[in-house]
Amino acid sequence: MTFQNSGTLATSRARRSLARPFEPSLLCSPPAEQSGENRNEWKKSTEEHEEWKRTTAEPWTYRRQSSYLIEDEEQQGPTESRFGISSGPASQPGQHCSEEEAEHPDRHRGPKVDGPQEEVNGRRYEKEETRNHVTALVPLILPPYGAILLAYGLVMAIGALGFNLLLGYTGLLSFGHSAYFGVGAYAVALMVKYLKVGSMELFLVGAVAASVLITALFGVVCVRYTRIFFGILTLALSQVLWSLAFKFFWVTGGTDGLRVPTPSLFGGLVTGAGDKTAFMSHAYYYYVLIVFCVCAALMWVIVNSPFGMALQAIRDNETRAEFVGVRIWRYRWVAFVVSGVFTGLAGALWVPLNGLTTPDIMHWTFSGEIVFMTVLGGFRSFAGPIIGAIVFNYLKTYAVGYTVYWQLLLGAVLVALVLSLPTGIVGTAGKLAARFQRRG
Amino acid sequence: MSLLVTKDLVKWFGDTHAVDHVNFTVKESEVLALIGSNGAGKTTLVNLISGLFRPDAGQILFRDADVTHQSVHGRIKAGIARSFQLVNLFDQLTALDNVALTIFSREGKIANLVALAAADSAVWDEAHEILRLFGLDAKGRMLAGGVSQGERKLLDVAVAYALRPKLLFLDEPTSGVSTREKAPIMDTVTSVVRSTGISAAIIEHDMDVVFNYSDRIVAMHQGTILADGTPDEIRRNETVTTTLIGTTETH
Repeated sequence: MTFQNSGTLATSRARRSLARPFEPSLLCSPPAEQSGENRNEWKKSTEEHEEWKRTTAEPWTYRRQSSYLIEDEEQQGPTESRFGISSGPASQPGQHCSEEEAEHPDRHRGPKVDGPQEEVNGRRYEKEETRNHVTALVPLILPPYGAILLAYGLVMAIGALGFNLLLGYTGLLSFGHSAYFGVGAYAVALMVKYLKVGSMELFLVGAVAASVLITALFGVVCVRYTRIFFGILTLALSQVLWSLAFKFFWVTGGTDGLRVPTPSLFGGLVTGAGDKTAFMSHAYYYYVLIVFCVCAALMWVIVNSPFGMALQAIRDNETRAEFVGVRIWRYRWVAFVVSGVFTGLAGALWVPLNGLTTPDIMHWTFSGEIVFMTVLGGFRSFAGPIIGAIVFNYLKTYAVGYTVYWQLLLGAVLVALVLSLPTGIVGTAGKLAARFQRRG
Repeated sequence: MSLLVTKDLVKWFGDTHAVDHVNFTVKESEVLALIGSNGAGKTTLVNLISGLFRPDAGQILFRDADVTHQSVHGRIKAGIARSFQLVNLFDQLTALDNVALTIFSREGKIANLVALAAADSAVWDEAHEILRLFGLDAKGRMLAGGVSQGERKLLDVAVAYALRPKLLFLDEPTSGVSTREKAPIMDTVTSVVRSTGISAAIIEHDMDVVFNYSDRIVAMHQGTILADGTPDEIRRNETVTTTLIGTTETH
């Protein structure tokens, strides 16, 4: 395959990308504003990334990275994976792809899969060639794509549950939770890069430790303030982490991010060898489900504990809470740390699903998404953030698949939902149920 | 025997002496009324003693221990509790939760993240009992923000009482309620206070309430103590009568 319009940096980048297995994030050139030294840094980062990949045990192939991508993707144009991470030839806003890439997105997907395929819900997926012993026992309730999509929703639900401990129960609106999500994700990626760790359990432990460290430090600064001051501080600190992830490319991979291989689960009992789609839609899906259930149960206990009551007291009336003996800053700090750890845990679960972590997930706009999914579901109820995260995930995914103007469509839908459901989905459902009960 | 003593307590707000070298005492098991016109320094004095404000000078001794520089939390542990002039409750929690939370705090159980609050039956039994004492047992399941003003006033006192203090400051417990509601509220509050043997210092403007329910009255004016005595002594004090209470002239 040759490129006709050679000469542009974007094209040469695309050509280089064809010489190796598919890597979506490497297809696009650095942002337009990057030039000169920055561009050289970017090249250096890419070379280091290549070197790291050569030293890893598992080869990266298109099939392992994105085999669950639907085949009719090329008809719908470039797509973007959830949360704005490029998963195909699509480019992020502000990044370039060559015209040829845009016209022939399939050219950059690496070798076509020759193996057998199966059709599910009118869409063709690669047939699972190998199934590990666990997935063989798991009943196929959902099609692979649906299971993976739900897994994303559940992961975000864990993050939203953590976020809502601050917003719904403590009365603190954080605009910096993308940072803790990113800390979890990067903790996993850095464990892979430097420690060659492949166990999901170790990933979770590492992510929790990193989240505790960062949120404990940030919390000391933030919890002395409330309202807009708290929000601005959390936002500013998250942007500090984002810029570190962005600039320290020799550690974080810069805009290229860091790849994370398919992890082993349950202490190595379940491995990701074989078909990645099968692994993600079965074993990993159930793993996420189990972690989600544990997290939801733990959060439910926390918000219904005496500590949870104290947080609600602080939310309702800080002065009175102090005069019944609640140490305001201390409890806010603990809530901040717990909230960050849940979000960090979500980041750790998310990154193997996505296969890649980039600084985008630490950007404040992603914090906005966490806020939005929580408000959408209803931050005054325990289940609200869970429902909101799953619904938001579906809305975003289908909006991305429906139009290139998906942000506009998603924004319009979300504004309509918030205006029509001011107490969120769960709050509105509760009101409707109460109304029907009264009539009954 | 004095439970609380303040020595030359001073608080300035700019050029204003809100509290000016005040020597104030509260004795064991007494109901004391603190009276004075608006701006006399009553609430500031209570704020200084309860820890909301830091004094500019002077000393606060509680049970012979210096609590001048202790935190609010430390003073609560020592046995000082208060209610507020404007009702301060946790409006999104039920009346029962308001009291139970205070008991959890008093018992040091509030830091527990991994135990269900509902499982601690001893706390909930005590919370029910306190609500019953204040005649609020029927309102236990209602949100604190949803009960009437008189009931909110009582609940405010009940929450402070749930800390099992030795000294309870009540800042205008009958303000904002109808004349008809004042007597039942004060009957309830003083009966609970007297039955448990704790001391109460009540800031009040209604002289009927003051003279009917207090053992001793301290009158304040412009940041200083004007008079200190029994209700009969205060009635006969001409300075207090002309400055604060007023007289009924006959023609």
